[in-house]
Amino acid sequence: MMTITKLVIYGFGKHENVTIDLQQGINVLYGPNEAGKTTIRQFILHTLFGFPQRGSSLLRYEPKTGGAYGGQVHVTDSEFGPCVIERIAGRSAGEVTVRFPDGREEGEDTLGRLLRGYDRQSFESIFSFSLLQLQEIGRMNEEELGEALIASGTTGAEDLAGFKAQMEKEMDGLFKKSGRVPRMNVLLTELKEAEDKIGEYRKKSDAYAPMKERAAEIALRLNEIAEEEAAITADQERLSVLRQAAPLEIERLRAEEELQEIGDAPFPADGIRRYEALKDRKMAADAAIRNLQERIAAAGREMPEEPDAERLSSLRSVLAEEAAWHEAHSMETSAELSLRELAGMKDGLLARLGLDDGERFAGADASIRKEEELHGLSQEHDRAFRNLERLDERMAEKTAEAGRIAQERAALEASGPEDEEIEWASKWPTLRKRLVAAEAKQRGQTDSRLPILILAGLAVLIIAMAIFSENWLFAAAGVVAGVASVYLLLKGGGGDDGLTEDERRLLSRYGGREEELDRRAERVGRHFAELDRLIEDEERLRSEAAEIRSLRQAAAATLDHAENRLGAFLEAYGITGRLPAAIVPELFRLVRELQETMRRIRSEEEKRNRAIRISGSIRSRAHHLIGHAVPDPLLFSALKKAERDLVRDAETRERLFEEQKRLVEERDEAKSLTAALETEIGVLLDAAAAADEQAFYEASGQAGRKAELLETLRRIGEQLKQIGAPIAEDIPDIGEIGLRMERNRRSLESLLDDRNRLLKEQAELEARMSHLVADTAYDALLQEFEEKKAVFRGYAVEWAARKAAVSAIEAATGRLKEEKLPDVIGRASGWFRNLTGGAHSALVLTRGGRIEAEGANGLRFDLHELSQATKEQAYISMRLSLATSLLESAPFPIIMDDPFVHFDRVRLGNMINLLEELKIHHQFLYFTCHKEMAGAFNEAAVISVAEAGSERGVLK
Amino acid sequence: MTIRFIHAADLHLGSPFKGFAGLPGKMAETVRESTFTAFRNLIGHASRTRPDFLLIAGDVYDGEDRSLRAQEQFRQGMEMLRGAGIPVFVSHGNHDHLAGSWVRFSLPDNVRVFGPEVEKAELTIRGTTVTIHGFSYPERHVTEPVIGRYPPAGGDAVEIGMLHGSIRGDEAHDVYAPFTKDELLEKGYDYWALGHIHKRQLLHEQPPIVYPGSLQGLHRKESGAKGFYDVAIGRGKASLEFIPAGALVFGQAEVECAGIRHADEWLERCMDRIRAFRKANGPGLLDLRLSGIDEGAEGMFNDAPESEWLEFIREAAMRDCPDVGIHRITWERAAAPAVPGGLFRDVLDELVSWDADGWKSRLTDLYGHRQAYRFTGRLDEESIREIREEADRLLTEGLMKGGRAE
Repeated sequence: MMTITKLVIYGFGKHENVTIDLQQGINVLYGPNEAGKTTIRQFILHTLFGFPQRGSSLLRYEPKTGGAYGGQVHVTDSEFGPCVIERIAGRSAGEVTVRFPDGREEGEDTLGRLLRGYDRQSFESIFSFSLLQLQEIGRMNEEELGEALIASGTTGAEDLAGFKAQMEKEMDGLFKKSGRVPRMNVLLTELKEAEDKIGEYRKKSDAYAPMKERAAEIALRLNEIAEEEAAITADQERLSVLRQAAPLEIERLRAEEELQEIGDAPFPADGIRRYEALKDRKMAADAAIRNLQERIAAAGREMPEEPDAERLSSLRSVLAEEAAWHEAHSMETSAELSLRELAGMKDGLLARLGLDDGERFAGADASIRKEEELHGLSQEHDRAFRNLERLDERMAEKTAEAGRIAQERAALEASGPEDEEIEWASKWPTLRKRLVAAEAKQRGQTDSRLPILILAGLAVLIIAMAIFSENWLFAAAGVVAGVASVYLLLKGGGGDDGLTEDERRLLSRYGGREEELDRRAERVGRHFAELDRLIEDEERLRSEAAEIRSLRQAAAATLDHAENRLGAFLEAYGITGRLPAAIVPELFRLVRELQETMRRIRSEEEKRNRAIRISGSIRSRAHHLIGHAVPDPLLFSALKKAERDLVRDAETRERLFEEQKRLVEERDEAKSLTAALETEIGVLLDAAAAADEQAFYEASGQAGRKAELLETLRRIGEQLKQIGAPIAEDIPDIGEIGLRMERNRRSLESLLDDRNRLLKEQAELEARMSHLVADTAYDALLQEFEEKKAVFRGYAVEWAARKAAVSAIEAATGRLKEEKLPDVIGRASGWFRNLTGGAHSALVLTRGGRIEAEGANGLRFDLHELSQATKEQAYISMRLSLATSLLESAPFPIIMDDPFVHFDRVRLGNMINLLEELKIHHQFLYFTCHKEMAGAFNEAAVISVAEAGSERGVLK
Repeated sequence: MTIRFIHAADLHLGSPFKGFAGLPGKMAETVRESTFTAFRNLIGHASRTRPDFLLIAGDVYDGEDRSLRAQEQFRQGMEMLRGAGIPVFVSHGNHDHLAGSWVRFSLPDNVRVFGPEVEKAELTIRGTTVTIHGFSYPERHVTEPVIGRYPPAGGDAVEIGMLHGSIRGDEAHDVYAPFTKDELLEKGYDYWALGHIHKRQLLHEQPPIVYPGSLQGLHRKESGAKGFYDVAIGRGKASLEFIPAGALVFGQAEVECAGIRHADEWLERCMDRIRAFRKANGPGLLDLRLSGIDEGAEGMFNDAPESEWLEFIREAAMRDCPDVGIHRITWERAAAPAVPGGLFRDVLDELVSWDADGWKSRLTDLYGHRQAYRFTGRLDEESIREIREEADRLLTEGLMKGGRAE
């Protein structure tokens, strides 16, 4: 039995530093609502089974004020003795220490053993219940009860059932007796298939033995075939030899026969060739003779006449003059050329001299003295001419001058002053004198000299103007003015201090106008001076002109004289008319040139004539030699040809003579050769015993055939030897040989076919056999099969293990139920009857596994058909019965939270009696808010749980 | 005068590996070829070292499903030995008995195959006569002792007995031509060349009575190096040298998992073990035993199904040691959670309470299934144990998981 002796709460929910002492038997913990009763119950559960996980549906009761969390539950256990279980904050379930009086400190493991493997859930399902939890057993059937029983000592009923269910599920996934999908069933199919495959491979392997036998047979048969083939082939070879030998034999016989016929056939060795060679040579020699004969005749025909030696020498002498001929020709040509040129020159000169014929010049005197003479004449003439010209010029000058002066005088006269003016002017000087004197008198000689100075200046001015304008009249006036001024100046002013009337009139008339009046007077004076001068010049010019005229007459006479003398001189040279003056110096040069030209003409003419003479002589001789006229340019080539022809004829003739001689010699030689050849031919014919050529050829044919036959025989002999024909055997008929060979050939063919077929079969067999013996697929298949088997076996173990586990669970739980359940129900049934005061006689387990209540009248009720209180009484009976039945394995205190509130007095009394009865084996902790319950039990410890909020308010 | 020979047995040419699945492609190929590779290693060794003769004490082939290829390979091997001038003595065993209907390949003349009756073959080696006694199984099952038919030794010849069978009273193997050690010793032979038992063992030192073991391990349980013996007998004294020939070695490696919290740590520890195995044995197939699993490691392993962990480590091994296959992983829980009394205890107790028939009747759905039974394997003691352990594990894990805290 396990008893909780003390609770020490460090901090749990509202409780802090609370200590509660408990006793054996019944403990009533009383307190009003919210006093913390439930908290204390939870403290016990939490301390024993651990604080709930954070976040789980259960409260953790951590102190809201902070501070220590947890506490101690002091326990005395029949098996473990006294110990203190302390749980404080640590990992989420809290840190547990189990302390024993001997000082040992243990942990969760020991606590687990102390709690006999119970977890909170299984503990609560039996040993701790509130009114609410009371009904959690559910429908209260056999299964539930069984599970409640089973829950004892395992992690929980659900775990075991769930585990079992899981195992079953896994088993189903692995194997089903008649399934297809589970892994092992699938594998089974595969294994069967693999087996079949292996079977097939075995079958294939079984074919190996027959194949091997067949291979041996084939090898045997192939050997036989080889032997047969060898035999037939040998025969075939022999027949083939015979077949080759047969026609040879026939040929040999024929050849020998023919030899017999031919017999002895003499013929000189190489006879035909020799004969034919000789014959050829003889024919050649005959032909040569004929040819020579013809050529001799031809040479005679071709031979030219004997050439004329005289003509040849004449030709050669003419030919020797070829150079002279060409020279004459070129001389003629050049002379002609010169002549033409000189004639031109002569004509030019004559033209220049203005002559038609130069003949008179040929003898003219062209000496230097004559030339000098002409020169003098010419100069004289020129001088006269020039003189005349000069005089003419002077004459013209004088005439022009006279004309001009006359003009001037006329102009002067036309512009002369009026007559009164002239008269006034003639008086002015006197007037002036008087005026001046008057003025001087008037002014007192103060400025008597001034008008004179002005007059002088005026004179100068007038002269200058005259010079400038070339107006001589002005000049004269100027001079006059000047003279006057000088005069006045010299005389000095005799002042007119005492003016007369006249003088006063004069002064009034002329005073102050002196200058103007001076100028008027001067002008008149100047006009008359000029006129005088012109008259004078005219006089002078007349005298000069007369002089010049006389001089010109003399000069013209001189010129005529000079002209006449020159004309006479030129006459002598045939020049008539007036000789151009420019030519005169040239004359003599031209004359001399003309004379030279004419001389050269004559010389060239001589040269030409000489050349013509020479070429004419050569040409006439040549023409005679050639035999006909030839144009000059071809003359010498014709001559040369004539010469060449003559020489060639001579040579030809010579050559032909030589050739004719040689040919005659050759012909004679050929004739003697022919004779020799004829002799030799005769000898050959004799050797062949032939009369003529035909006989000789026949003999040759015989001899040749004989040799051929002998050769044939030799060849046949050799061939027979080569073929290997049996010498001493009868050679059978060739037809028979053919037949036998054909037969052999067919046999061989059929053997070959057989052999090929067999070889093919053998190759195939060998390939198949070697494939079979080398095939690793079979090994692979076996391995695969084994692997599958291994997998299958692995699965089998898995399945079996699960099956075993399930069976074990079933067996153990079954036995548990079988053994304990009737006990539990029986006891519960008794208590239930007592509690209900006999109203219900029993609790019964139906065949269907449900629990029913049996009424006193024997009627049965399903539990949920009972009244609330009765139902609760049934449950409590069942729980207490379970607890009692588990006393050995789970001797825990029973903790109740006001479960009897629905009970009437009688049934409560019954209940209390029951507990009193049971308290010997179980400690009871009874939490209640009903004060009367505190006193309901005998010997119960009553603990008052303080009002809400009070501390240390736990009363005893 | 020393004579030297090779003693091999249980070649099982062409036999598939039993009990393996999910090997990567390259590995599967190696596995498939392994019996041939081992055989070639044997022939290669013989050709190189030129022993005086070669003994094959039964089970050249695996069974009636021997492939032509296996026979051809054997023939070729024999041809090679003929070329090397090495005589071969073959006695067929239960797996390749004479009654089979398979094709027989003609073997070269250096091979002497014993007939169904015990007979002797004689040969002279450098002046020493060697007599070899042996027989071939005439049929699949020879359960009667044959040892009685072997003649006792006599004379100067070196006498060798070839016998394919099991020692009497050995329950682990099917009983074939049973004998006792004393029976063998009584014959007074110089060497007993035994076959049939795949585990290499020396029944007696002098004269040697030898099981050379199978040439190539074919099953997870045939672990360790496999091969044949190179034997030299001279002046009544024999010396044996074991020559490994297997293409693959089966092995186990323990991986200590204490303190592991992350998968990569675990993977690294596993790979260390795998590499060590690879270094020691060459190519092979490996079982990993995970030990020392503490709470943290357990938590990690619980994150994924076991099959995923296996796949994970296989992939890693493929990358690093492609010729080492990981066959399976076993989790050895350091301490199964204490199972309290009560119903759960009852459930576990239930498992051990069943006898063989109890098991059979419970598993008959599968093991008695008309199609499935052929592939499940027999429900013998061992498989029952395996199943029980697995069920135990399932229950413990399934029901104890989750703790008590609510």
